[in-house]
Amino acid sequence: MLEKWKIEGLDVKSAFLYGTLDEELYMEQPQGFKVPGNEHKVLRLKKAIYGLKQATRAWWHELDRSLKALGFSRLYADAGIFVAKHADRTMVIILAYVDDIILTGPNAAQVASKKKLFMDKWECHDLGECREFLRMRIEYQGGKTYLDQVPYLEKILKCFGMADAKAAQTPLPTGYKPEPLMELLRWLSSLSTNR
Amino acid sequence: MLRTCPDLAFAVTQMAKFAHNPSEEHLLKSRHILRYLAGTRKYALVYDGRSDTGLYTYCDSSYGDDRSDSDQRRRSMQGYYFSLANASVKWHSKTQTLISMSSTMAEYIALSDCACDCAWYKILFGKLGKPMPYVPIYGDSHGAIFNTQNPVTQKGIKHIEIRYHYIREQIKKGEVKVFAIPTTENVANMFTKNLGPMLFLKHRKQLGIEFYPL
Repeated sequence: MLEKWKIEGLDVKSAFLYGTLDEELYMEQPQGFKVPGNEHKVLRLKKAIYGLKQATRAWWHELDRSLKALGFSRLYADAGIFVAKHADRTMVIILAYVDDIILTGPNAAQVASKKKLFMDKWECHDLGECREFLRMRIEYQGGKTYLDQVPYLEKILKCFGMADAKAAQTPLPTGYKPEPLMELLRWLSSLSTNR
Repeated sequence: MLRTCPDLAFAVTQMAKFAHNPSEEHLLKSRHILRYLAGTRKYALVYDGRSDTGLYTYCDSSYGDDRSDSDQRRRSMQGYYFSLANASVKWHSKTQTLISMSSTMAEYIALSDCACDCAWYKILFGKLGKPMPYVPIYGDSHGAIFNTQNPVTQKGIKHIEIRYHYIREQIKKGEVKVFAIPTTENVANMFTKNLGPMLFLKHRKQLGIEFYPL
């Protein structure tokens, strides 16, 4: 971002199903899919499925292994950042948040080649130049990067019926300090109304 | 909304304290936050890749003005934010866990927590091939800054726990440098206090939040 790095976005399809389990897990047969005559039997899981508490970690291990094969190494500073260093001291950086992947680097051709390798390995949606990440909208204009959450904000405002609300200058009224005294006042006022 | 709105951090933290037992008062104030959001639809965090300012951080704390506690412990608020390419990349607004005996102690603790994050950023930037000589921290408490640079044990700071002396070591190793600035220039002020519109709007600009008509 600092040096006009291009940011490419990817979304891995059904990521959690790739994770391999390293422990013995069983599940009951789902309703409607019971094998006739064998209803009492349970299923042993070989791969992770959605809703499993181990699924996220299993997927991460799978991703880590595949990225290692592609020449990336994980940063110890952050488990979600992977870096591939090239001979000419440039690099490609992968940022992974579960199944949302961002690729970036100073050299656009290197990023594109790594992206292709990654897409050969995993089936994903190609989002092209990254315009949205974790519900944050990203815009590029005149060398600057703009980051906001307006689509999400509109949804919230609509949900609370505040879409046409009068704008306030600051988030809290000037001089307002929350006090626990309110509790006491509430209790006192409830006393007076009860009598 | 907190992901792209550092200006909200303080207000939301204050309201979240009452999430377990809210009164009408708090509902009203929460709607005030939404009204503020409605007015800032066209604002975005703007990262300017051409500005070569590097990573720096502002750090501040208030002293004993947390009255929201029902047992009246009067703890202090601390806040800091990291800025890269002219806009904030990480911010923090939190009630300190222990009770400060002086504003110097509150600031000292805030500086120390800030130094921990600086160390992480230094490691990360080093691994990404952009090593930094040091991270500048800007604070507004001369007392706290003096204490970070001079290994003296005075009466006023004897009781500060060992882990908060982390900043002294970081300064000695040259990982961070602390600079003093006037209180009105300290942007981190908005993470520790409910500021009036004048200062708030001034600081918001420095956080990198700018008008952006689509």
